[in-house]
Amino acid sequence: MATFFGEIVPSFSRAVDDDDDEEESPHVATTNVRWSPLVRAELLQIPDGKLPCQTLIVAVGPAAAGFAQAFILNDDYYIVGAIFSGMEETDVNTFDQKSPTDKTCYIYRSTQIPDAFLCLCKTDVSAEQSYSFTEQLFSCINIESKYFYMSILCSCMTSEYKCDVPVSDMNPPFLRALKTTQFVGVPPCKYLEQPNLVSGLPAQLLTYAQIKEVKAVLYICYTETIYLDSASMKIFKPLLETTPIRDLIQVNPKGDEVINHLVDMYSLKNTMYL
Amino acid sequence: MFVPGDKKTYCFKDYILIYPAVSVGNVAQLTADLLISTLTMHRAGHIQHPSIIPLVGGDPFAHPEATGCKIVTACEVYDSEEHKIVVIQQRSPFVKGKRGLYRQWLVNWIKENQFKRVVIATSSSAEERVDRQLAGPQFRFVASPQVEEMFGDMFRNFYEWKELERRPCFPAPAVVNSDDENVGELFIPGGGISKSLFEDLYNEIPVAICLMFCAEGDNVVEAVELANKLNKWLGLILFHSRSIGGADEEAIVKYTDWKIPVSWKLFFGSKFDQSLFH
Repeated sequence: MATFFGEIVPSFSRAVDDDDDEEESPHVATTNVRWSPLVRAELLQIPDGKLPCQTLIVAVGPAAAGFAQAFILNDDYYIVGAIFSGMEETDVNTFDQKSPTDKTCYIYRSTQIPDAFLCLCKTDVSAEQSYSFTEQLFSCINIESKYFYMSILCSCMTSEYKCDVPVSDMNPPFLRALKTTQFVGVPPCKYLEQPNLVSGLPAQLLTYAQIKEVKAVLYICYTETIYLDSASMKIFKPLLETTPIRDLIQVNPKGDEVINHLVDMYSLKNTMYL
Repeated sequence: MFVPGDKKTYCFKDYILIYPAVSVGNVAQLTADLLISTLTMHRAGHIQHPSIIPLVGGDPFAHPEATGCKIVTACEVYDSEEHKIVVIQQRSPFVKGKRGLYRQWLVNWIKENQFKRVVIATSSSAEERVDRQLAGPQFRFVASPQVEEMFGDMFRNFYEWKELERRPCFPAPAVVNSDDENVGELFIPGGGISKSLFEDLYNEIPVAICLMFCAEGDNVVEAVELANKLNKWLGLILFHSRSIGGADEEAIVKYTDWKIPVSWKLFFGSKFDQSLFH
């Protein structure tokens, strides 16, 4: 496109990528799920090959995963599966979900309540991969129980949030929710206002729940820092009182300590104030 | 795949399908928004496909004061029994390199449902226009043989619509101002899957493309014009402000304008502190 002064500038479209026209390169990195030997043995006993599930909590991103690690995850949980997506050879990984560089996604299961699952996702799942991620996650989890509840936790930047109030008056972090039609409860925060949208993995999970007609809520924490801070993790705290999370947790008095520890750990990576 | 809502099975036989292709400026999506909100169309179900980038949000057609939550997903199917039309609204782009897969699925779905006619709404990059296209109406149509037979005369002579000029294909000399407009290929840069979808349906189902030339930016004007053109052809809404009853009674005005959905709020981002510029 030529401008007023005659120089040629490339024009970009929000909607279409013209280079894409005929060249079809269906290569999108796929996602793989690996179940623990224990689960695989158990699956052999179940006719439809899927673990019965009544509660599923999916925490996507460091803030949501940090909250879940501090207040939901406890010694009662053990790892039953791992989902691999987008891990690169250069990534430093301890496979322990404790280091800030860890890009792993584990599925935990409670020993006391065997139909409760917790998925902590710290990997970068691209929007393109979300479909296969969701398919993989639900490949071995049966969500057809009428008592099934799913909670999805994620965080977004306030710069992506559109509203009538200027950003300076918004007072982040704050929480917003979206729910499927089947979920009849009222979440402890406001619904996400128009014209805001959520994309990526959380969107795919909620879409899946809507299509399968199951009860699910998506909680989005809008934060303004790119570094993990305790406020963004603690903003999820009201969710401890909500279905289905309240039925799963034991009060963890050390939750705040875990959060402080996580913040310290992540701030080591932050070289802003060296 | 199409997942019908409220556990119903739908039969779209003899319906007209309006397919807004994701294209430059998202003109067709905006047009679809206007149609769906003004006709208060019913959401028949969702399309779930690996080729579409996932997305969720609140109800885009909700009342501004509504407090409930009805989520919207990346691609949805709306129908109107009264007008016998179906609109597919896709709100996010395709996964790079995968739109062919989606198109294949869509073509099959269209055939399965036995739609009477398919109207592809789209837009084409304004910077790729030839001299002849710069001035005058920015709306163009392309019709398949069956549509041409039924409506060709009406489009040209009664509506005074112009057919999209064809272009000589690449290795041939570029005869930009050639008088013979019917030689050459369809050229819809930035039109998304509209051209390939049209070609896939060309011989089997009456299909037409309705397009606007446009550039990225505020494309509401183009969207409204495209909606007006579609409305003119398909006769969906009567834009008459008619008063029913005597002059002293309260006038009952039916539709006077397109209904702008609530999702069109804050097109240009959040409001900001005006004192910034003091």
